Amino acid sequence: MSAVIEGAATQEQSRRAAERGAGFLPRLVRQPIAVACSLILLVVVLACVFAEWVSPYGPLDQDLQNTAAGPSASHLLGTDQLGRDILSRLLHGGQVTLLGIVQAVVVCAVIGLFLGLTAGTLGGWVETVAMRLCDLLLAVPGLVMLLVILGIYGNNEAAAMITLGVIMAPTLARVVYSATIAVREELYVASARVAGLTSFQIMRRHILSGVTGPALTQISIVAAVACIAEAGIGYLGLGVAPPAPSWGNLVTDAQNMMPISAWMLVPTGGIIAVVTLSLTLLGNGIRDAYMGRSSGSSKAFSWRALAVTVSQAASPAGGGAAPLGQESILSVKGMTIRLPRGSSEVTVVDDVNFDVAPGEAVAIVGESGCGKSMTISGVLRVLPMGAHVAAASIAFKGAELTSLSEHEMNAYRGTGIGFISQEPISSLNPAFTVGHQLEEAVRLHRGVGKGEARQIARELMVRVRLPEPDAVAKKYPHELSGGMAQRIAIARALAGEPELLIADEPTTALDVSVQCEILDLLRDLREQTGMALILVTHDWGVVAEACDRALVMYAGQVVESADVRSIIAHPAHPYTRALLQSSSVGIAPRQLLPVIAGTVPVPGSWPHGCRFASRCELAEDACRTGPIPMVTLDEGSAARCIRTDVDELVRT
Amino acid sequence: MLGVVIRRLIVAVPLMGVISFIVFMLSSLAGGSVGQAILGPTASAASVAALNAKLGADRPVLVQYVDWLRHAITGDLGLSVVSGVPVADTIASRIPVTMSLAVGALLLVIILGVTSGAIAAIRGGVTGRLAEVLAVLGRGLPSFWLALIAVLVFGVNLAWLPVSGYVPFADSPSGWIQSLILPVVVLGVSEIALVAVVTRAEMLSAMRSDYVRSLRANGYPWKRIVFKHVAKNAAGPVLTMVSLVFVSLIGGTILMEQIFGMPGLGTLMVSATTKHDLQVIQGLAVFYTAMVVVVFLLTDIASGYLNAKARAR
Amino acid sequence: MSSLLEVRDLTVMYRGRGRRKDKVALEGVSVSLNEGETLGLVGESGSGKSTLGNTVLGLVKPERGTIRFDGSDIAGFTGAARRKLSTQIQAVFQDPYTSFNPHRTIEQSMGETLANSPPMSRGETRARVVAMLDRVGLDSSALSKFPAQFSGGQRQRISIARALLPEPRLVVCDESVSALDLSVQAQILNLLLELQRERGVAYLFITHDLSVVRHMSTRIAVLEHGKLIEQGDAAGVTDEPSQPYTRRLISASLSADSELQRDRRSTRRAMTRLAADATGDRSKRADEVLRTLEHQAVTEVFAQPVPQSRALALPLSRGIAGVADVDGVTALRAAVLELAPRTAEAMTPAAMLTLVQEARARKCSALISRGQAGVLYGRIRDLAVAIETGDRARALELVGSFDEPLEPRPRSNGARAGAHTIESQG
Repeated sequence: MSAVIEGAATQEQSRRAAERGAGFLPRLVRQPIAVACSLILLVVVLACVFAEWVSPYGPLDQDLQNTAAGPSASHLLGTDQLGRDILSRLLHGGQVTLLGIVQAVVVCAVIGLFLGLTAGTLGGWVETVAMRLCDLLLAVPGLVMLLVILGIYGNNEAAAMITLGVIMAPTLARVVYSATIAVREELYVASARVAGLTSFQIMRRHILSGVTGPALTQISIVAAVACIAEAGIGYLGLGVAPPAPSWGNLVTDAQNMMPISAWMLVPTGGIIAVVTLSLTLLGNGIRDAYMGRSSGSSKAFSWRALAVTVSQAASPAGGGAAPLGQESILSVKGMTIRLPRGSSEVTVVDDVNFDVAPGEAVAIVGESGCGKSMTISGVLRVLPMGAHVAAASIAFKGAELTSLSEHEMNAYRGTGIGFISQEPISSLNPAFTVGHQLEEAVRLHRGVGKGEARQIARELMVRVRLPEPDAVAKKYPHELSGGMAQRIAIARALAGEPELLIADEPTTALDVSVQCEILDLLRDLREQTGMALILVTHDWGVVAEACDRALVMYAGQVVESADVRSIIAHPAHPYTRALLQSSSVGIAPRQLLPVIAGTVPVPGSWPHGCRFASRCELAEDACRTGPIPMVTLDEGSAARCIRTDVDELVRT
Repeated sequence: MLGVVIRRLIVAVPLMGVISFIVFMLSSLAGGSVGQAILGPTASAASVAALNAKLGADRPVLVQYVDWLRHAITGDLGLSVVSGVPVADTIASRIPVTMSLAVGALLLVIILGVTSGAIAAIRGGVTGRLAEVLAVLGRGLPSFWLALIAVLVFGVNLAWLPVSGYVPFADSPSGWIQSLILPVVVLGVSEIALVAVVTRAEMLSAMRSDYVRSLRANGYPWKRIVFKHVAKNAAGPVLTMVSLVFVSLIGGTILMEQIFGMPGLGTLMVSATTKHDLQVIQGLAVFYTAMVVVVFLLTDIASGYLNAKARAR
Repeated sequence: MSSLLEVRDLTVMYRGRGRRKDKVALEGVSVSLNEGETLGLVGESGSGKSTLGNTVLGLVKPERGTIRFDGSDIAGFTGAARRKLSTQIQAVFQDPYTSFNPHRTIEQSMGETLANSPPMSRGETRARVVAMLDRVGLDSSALSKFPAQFSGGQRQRISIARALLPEPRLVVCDESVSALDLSVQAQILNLLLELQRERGVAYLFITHDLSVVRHMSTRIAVLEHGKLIEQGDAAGVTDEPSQPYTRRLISASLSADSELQRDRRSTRRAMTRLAADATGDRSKRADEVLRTLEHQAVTEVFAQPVPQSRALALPLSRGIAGVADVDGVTALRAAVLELAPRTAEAMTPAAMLTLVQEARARKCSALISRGQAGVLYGRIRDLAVAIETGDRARALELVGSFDEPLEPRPRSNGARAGAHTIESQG
């Protein structure tokens, strides 16, 4: 999971957790649309099944006084050309249609579940054969096949609906199959096997629970399709022969009556529409309930909503500044980032200040949920949808970024500030060759022609030490190793010759030896070009390796800022010290590590006072009463702690 | 690329054989011979047997099938037992009608579906919601019923458009267009929203992706990101959806032709079904399958072009 | 003491499907683990370390080899026999988010592990689950909750509780702390260590993180591309690695200790330059690279955190600073061999010592025939050029030629053809 949504993910999880607290059925019951649809279907089904008793007239009874009449007290839905009561005919006709639906659904469910489950659980040749069979059946046009069957078997509805069930089965089989293999790969199935469960127990407890939701959703769609198909057959006069009613041939009757009165179209088409719509919506409800979404809660997401709203806030606070006497290339003052959560908002980054000097390498260190990725995303304005950035100032080389529009930001992104992300392969577009993507970046940022762009792209690939650049250029991202993809991503970021490179956990997804190569590369590139670097990481080894200065973040705030050497040797903030000690450096093997109890508080539940107080050994009452300011220590270092004096004692 | 085509063909050709074989088997299992079907239930056993012998329907079903298949390969689908006209000729003469309908509806679906889906993904707001609601409605409302309403409103009450018949393009291009508008719109309308929903969902998932975040962070203009990078990634699934939509449109033409009185394959199918004209049914089944297979083949080639991973597989 | 787990000559293949080829995941790997101890398995992605764990767990079928657990070969166990082992062998997997079925409560998920234990009443089961949860720091309110209601660290605690519930003798920990934040990771490592002390359970501890494995293990086995590179007691493997791959892995693992870090960095960087830098004037560049490497060979020796190797390095560096080129060349050759570990013999401290001695001997010889050093130098330059131009075949050929007696070539500065051969090449 990409780090950019770490804050969003936590809140998403907590929301889902609350919903998952109850099982699947209670969640379904909480969906008003699904409940309403179920009720409608129940009423229709019951009324049709008990049509003999419920309907006011017989299906063939004629009221010759009222032919082709509209709705009235005696005929609630009016009468047809022969004076037969439409409601009664609908209810009786429904028996035929509903029976057809049941036939199709049962056949489809049996075949589809069987094929999907066996293919998914057994694998091997069974899987191949079953899926090939599905491919074959998918290429059969449904309605045509129904007509073929009806042509051969002479208006035999049962045969037609069973055929329909067979034709629809491969889609269900595929749904079940992909749900099964998704579950099959889950670690909890491995855990169950390790726990010594039999294959049957695993199927029953784990696989079925993963398949139920998608299968039910698909089955409700099958039912809806069957309903329309059955009605279509009836409408074409190929189903139940008149005068016996069916929903389809009632539409034909309505069509014949059109010159006299169009009314009959309404109830006859209406009932089909109501049933199919209810089935479709019920299917959607099942899907939503299964996936833990509440219906209609998915906020309207769009490209436009990706544009972050930025506002200028007052009162810059001190701390975290670059060493004095240096003009900073990036200066962030009082940046606060809020993300939408449900109907309200939650702060994920709180009043962050920092400066980056030209050529300087600054690390932003912290655990997940502390807001480090959010901080750099806020600077670049590539936050999740609906985010809001407020800052007193975000200045790049003296230019104020907060007052720029999304469009104007592009004057700085790429050319002034380059960016590389955590997942090297997914940060490249899978649909284009890497060479093409690199050339595109060069043309975009340097405004050169095609031939020259190709030349520069090649030079960039050599610069990031890609072996055989010409061969690599022809490859797609998924054909590259993580390390090679990250080199391409770096080359792309260099295309605009940025003066500041922002790297979001650039080596977290890589093997250690590749990690070193990438960090070495970044170091060399910085030596060659003099560009500054902001590196987000959770790894102190990476900090020590690649950076000059470190900002430690905790619960949305910068808690310490200092030179890397001194922060590692003499951490001032208790959190920094605890974090450093948590890595097993300097502890005798197989002895207990010093640990910080508890976990980072989730955004939205940050205490008023020191956010680390509840986990801190040094905490006293003063720590909890109010916000703690950044306290400037020696030589441009600062810590958000009022007990650094005590720290000194503890440390020695 | 050629490999994909060949592999698909390897599946496709036997598929048509399998379909025709199944149809053949089913008709023999159904009982009642061809002669019986032609002469009706009242005919004497002797006359039925005589006719069967004349038609070669008294031979074992496998022999009949092999015989049929041998002719089918050369394009000879036999004679209609009802009209005595070669099935292949009948089908050929009706293809333009059905294709005009299906392709017209497909173009409508693609143009409107993709555009509105893209607008919903880019601009957000109510468009996306609307597309979702319309997709549910499109799936829920029976098309033949919608067609009747359309006939009633635009044909009868407003009298804007003809409600029945088909004018060949060669006779009158404007008449051709007029005769197609209602059936094409009704046929396509329920699928537009479906394509729109898929387009929107695929574009949104591409927009949420890591590479789009990287592109934005590296200062790419939004038009380039959306219309190049997002579009190419969304195109594959949309294309698959469109091919499925085309299959369902082909089915839909049967009803539309019936309602709007158009002399296409669909009306031929329905009349053959009511008359139990097995030769025609057989020929049509194979032809429809062939159409679907061709569409799937084209889709595969196109998505292979769009998606490097699919090509590698 | 007999081993609890004894893996012998294990080979695992992943069968390719369709057009994909078969892949060898493990090839003739043998490792052993004693009761109550921890065997750390390290390696990079694709090294087969997780495959080894999964094979021990019975999730993957081996192609060849034996897995002796408590004396009996369990490699071929299937069905009920294998399921019975679940009370003996358990697992804690990497991802705490997917190792629980989201639709089942914690009580249901945990109770699962007792499936093959002697039957007990519901109350007893619950009591055992509650006691275990309590041990890992969670209260009984967790029973009826769903996995999504816990944080990653809490879930990993529950994973551990679940694994230890049937009182197993061996727990396979497959990257059990990799997905966790640093502070939580330390908590979980402590919990694992404490439980091992209390219950005497053995761990097969699989990870890519060298510092974690060093901290947790009594023994360490290093894997690369499905092959066992080296195996030994933890201190030995991490402090005095005998294999270049292990050394490289250690030099690549980053540490917050900045002094150590700088040494390791400089070693790596010179090697990278030789291997990958393809810009600039070639011949001039090659000289530059060579000079760096000469220096580098020394740094490399210094970088090893073993006092003994520092002692080794000193004469070496003096040799370079001093008169003849020969020592420098030898050191250079050592670095070159380091670059091609699979084509040349491994550079152990002992081998390095031999080389230094050889170098001294050769220095004397070189005084007699000044051409020799030049020839060697020339070859190395050729090698550097070959590496630069990506000519792998030529590079390998040159590396191989180091083990042949030296013959001065006409273009070298020393013209005394065939006058002398240098004896006993490492």
